[in-house]
Parts: sequence; C-alpha cells; structure tokens
Amino acid sequence: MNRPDKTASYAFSPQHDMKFATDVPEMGNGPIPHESITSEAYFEQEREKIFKRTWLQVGRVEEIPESGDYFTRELPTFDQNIVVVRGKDEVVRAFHNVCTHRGMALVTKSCASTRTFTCEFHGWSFGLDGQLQHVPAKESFPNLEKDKPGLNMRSLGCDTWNGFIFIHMNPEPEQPLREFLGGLADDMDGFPFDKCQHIAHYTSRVKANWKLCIDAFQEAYHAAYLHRHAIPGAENGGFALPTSVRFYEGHRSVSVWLIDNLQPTPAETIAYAHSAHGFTKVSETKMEGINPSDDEGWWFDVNVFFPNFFCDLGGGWYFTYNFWPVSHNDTIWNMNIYQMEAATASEKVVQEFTRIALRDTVYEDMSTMEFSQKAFESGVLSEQYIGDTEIAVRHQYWVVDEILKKP
Amino acid sequence: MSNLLPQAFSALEPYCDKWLAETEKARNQIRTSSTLEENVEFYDAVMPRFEEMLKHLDEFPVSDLPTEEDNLLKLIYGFVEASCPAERFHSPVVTDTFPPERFTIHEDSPASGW
Repeated sequence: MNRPDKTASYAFSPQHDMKFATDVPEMGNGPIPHESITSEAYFEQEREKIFKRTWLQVGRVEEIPESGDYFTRELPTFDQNIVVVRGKDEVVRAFHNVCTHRGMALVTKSCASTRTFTCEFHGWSFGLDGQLQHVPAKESFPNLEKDKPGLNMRSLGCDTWNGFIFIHMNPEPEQPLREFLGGLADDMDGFPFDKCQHIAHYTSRVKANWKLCIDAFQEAYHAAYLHRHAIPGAENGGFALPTSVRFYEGHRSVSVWLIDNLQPTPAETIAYAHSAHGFTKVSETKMEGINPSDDEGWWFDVNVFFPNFFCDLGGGWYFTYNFWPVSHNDTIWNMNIYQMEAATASEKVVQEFTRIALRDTVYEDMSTMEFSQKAFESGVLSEQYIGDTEIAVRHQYWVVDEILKKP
Repeated sequence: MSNLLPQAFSALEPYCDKWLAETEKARNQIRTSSTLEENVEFYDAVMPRFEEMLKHLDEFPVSDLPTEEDNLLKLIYGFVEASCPAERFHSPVVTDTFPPERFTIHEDSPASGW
C-alpha cells in the first residue's frame, strides 16, 4: 500500500552523554559473532546452564488472590506445563502439572480454583501443598505407604518479589530469589506495583533467537527512527536516547529520555489534560523505584532481569515482557501492561491511549527480528556490529558467553 | 430503534454499528479490516466532540456507568483505535512486514500466560 514515508532528517543529539551509574564489566568492543543466535548446540547449552538454573518470572500474585486459586503455564523451553497455586496456608507454590501415577495432567484449565488436585484419569487426589492424599482402591498398590513420599506432586522452586511470581527448575535453588534479583531490585523497590491494575496482554511467536528478540527492547538507538510512525515527532532530535545505564551481574537497566518538545497527538492532547499519567507524558507525581540515576527529562526505565524478564517502569505505569525460547530460532514473546487505578472515565481513556500507543509501538519492534535472524542464519552476515549506546545488547551476549564457558 | 448512546451524542449513533465493540481484540480487528478512509471518517466525526464526551462521562462513577455512558466509553475506545491510522500510521495496520494475525491480543482479563 502507499503511504507517505517519513524520511525527515534523523538528528542524533551530539551533546548527549550516557551516564554509567555502576561499574561496567570488561566486555570488549568487537562485533558479536553469529553463533550465539544461530547455533543449535549453543542453545542447548543455554537451556541446560541458564534456563534450568535461573529464577524465571511466570505471573503475578493478583492472578491467584484466594487460597485454592491456581493458574497453569506452558514452559516451551522444556516442553513442560506447570501449575502455580495459592495454598490453604496462603503460600504460593509451583508444581509440575503431572499426576505421579501415569502422567496425566492434573489440571486442564488455564486458571480456576480448587480444594484439591484430582486427576481425571483414575481419581488420584493431591493437596494444594502437592501431597498425595487419596488413591482409589489403594489396596491394589501393596507398596503404597512405603512409596507415598515419592509420589507427591513434583515441585519447582517458587518465590515472589513485589507480587511477581518466579519459579526455578531446581525445587531447592542454591540462590534465594531476592539475592538473585540483587541491585536491580534494590533500585526498583518502593514502586507502587500493588496500586497498579492490569490493563493489557499480548503475545506473539517470532522465528528468531530469544536474545535477538530481547535486543529489540533493550536499546533505545532504534526508537527515533523505527518508531517515527507510532510516535509522531520521534525523528526530530534524539528521542528516547539512553541517559544512564546500570549493570548488576547478569541484570541490566537503561533509563531513556523523552525529548521535552515531543507533542502528543491531537487526540492524546485532549485526553492527557484529564490525567496525571500517560505514556508520552512526563509524570507529574514523584514515586519510588524509578529514575535511580536522577536523569533529567526522564521517561522510563528499561529493567532487564537475566535471562528473559523485563519490568519497565514509567511514572504511574509499568509493563513486562517474557521471552520463552522454543528453539534456537523460535521464541514466544509475552507482554503485560499495568497502570495506576483509573479513578474517572477520562483516566480510563488515557489508560486506553497508553495501551494502544504502547502496543502499536512494540508492534513496530516485531517487524525487524525475523529479517535479522535470516541474515545470520543464511550466512550473509557473520557478526553483529554494535554501537556504544547499544551497550545493553553487548552485555547480554557477554553474560551468556561467560556462563557457557563454565561447566 | 433505542439509543445506545446518551442523548447528547445521538449524532454518533450511526457509527455504533461498526465501531462499538466489547473488547480490545474486537476493536483492533475492526480497525485493521477497515479502510484508511473509514478509520479517518470515524476519527473526524468524534474529534470535535471528544472533550465534551470526557466531561460528560466524568460526571458518573467510573465503576458503575449507566448503559448509555458505558457504550459511549466503548465507542471512545474504538475512536482510540481509529486515531492510530488517522494520526500515526496513515494505514489501518502498523506495518506491512508483520501481519495482524501474528500479534495476539488477549481478552481484557488478568494475565493468562502465553
């Protein structure tokens, strides 16, 4: 179709300075070899050494507010299905969604409420704590009493931080969750997560390596050009440049900057007059957990928890991404948007602008990943050429490389 | 035919048949399957009344809107969709390189996985 192509001059502000607010690891400055996104063997190592050994975010506590509430999640990286449940004791636990008798799934709904997990196949029944409680015709299992401890539901490590539910493939992880989340969580603590309501949910499956998909969202260099349609005016003068960067072991955080002469669209302008918060609106209220490096003209923080969980915070809104690798070149992307409660109808309309504008902006990000993957898989390019403001991209490949070097 | 919208906005009743829908998924589908001209026509019809609509709705408790006001709010959500072609992309879709069928919009409900 024909539409006027915006090719206005792309001005990258020469005065811009990117602050390093923490130590920066020695990561080298050469191009990134293609193997980390094209090699099946490399991905197998990532599955074993990273995804099997690291805390992974799967949901939020608001999804399971009462005892007995549960949700299931597919873990495509392992071809496994898990159930996350709030027990009678209010504790959140995670189990493999598998009956220990002969493997039937214990629950087949994606979310519901229950008093026990009772298998459809033979009626075996487990408590919300995973303990095997009832076996019909138990006398037909002469060794049942002896074998019972081994027949409880298989558990995963499970813990929460600020309402985010994380699981771990090791039921007894070496490193506690809060310690793993480290300095990045320190910066974010205090953000009013519990005052935000869920307003949107999107998924997409992309034929590209999970790290390449992540790259699309952790550098702001592309924003002025790729998003010149979604955010009119972005192409004029260094929109959304990174202003400060922080590294915390495997995690990283990039603050981005909103140019102060960015005009909301005509419809947004009318709506924004009625709300303190909005996507391209500098927040009028102060809150904790944001802008840790105190940047001027701050817009939002891109917070990336290793390996695959983003929790980006704005003034009065936040959104999350998860990237689940299915194979070396196949990834499931998941996005959720949250915003402070709307007290009026016009605040709800501003929420609508937030989700639609943000949704269509990230939609533009979808448009590059598969082209890039193809360029490397086909052998046309053998490496990625990385600029200084794309340092988060470099950090990701470096962290993964360092882990894979070890046993 | 009974009015879907508050009396003050009855001039916009003809747009309800197409643009009034219950979910984000449905509204997005209407936008992407309409022409640019249809999106812009609806946008142009609402814009001059938009401020007035917000002021009207704010007179009611947001968690307990009467039916006509609730319909007006949903029609506004349809307007937000139509504003994207009109103000941003100049096309019903975001980009030609990734079709809408591949970008899944879930129902307006708490996160339900991927």
